[in-house]
Amino acid sequence: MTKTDGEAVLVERAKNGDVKAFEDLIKITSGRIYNLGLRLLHNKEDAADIMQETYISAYENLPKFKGNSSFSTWLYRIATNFALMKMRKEKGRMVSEERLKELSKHLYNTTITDWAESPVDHMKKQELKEAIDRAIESLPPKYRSVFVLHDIEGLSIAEVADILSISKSAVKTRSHRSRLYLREKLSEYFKESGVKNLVRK
Amino acid sequence: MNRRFDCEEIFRMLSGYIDDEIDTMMREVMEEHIRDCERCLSLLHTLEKTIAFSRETHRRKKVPERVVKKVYYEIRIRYKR
Repeated sequence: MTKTDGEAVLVERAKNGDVKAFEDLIKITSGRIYNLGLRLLHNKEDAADIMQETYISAYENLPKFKGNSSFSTWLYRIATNFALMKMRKEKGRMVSEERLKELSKHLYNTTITDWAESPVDHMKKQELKEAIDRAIESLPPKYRSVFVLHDIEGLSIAEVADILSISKSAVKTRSHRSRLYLREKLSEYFKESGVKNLVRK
Repeated sequence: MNRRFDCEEIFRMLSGYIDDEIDTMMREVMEEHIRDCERCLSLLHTLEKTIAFSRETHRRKKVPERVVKKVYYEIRIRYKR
């Protein structure tokens, strides 16, 4: 039996009122849902809240789940929607969409330097994580969700499009702009933190 | 061929290249350009490293047992049969 088949059997049992089957589904999928919350919101309490809201909503809406996508994809969709609601309430400064749109053009007029070595060799991994988290947090929610689902969770463009109910071409555009922006923020950070030999002359 | 136009085109397609969403013919054209263009090569490398560092610093963490138990509890209490 494949993993998805196993999920499908548990979903059917849960639909028929078997709470234990639903708990087994939680056991199988909670790692992905909790980590998605962590990666989108960078906060353990928020990740725990997202996880709880997701499973309560999934349990309530189980009769509506038709199996057109996998149960995990359906959960990702619910969790991402709850996370998007939280992100939209955040007070931090975010980069404007206009700025993201102009990045490609802006790049052409700037010097592009490679990063000669891995910064992990020069700085603490935690410092790098904090720099990356700050950069990801300054992405508007609709860009942040695409970057996290595609580049960190490793979901395909088609899966991300399905989860966010947007076209594949919108996923590609948002993904490209997010990557360019994060690359720029990391370049700035490496220069400011003075990691020697990191920026190739 | 206009060099400036080439670089701009390459910039726009680099994510597609990384995601393997570019057809073979276009891939070859891009690789030919990138081989001779330090700017495009640097951009490609730094984009790939941006993704790699983001993944590397966000490895999956174990869900705390109390968080899972709380979800079980909430569901049991709400939907007790």
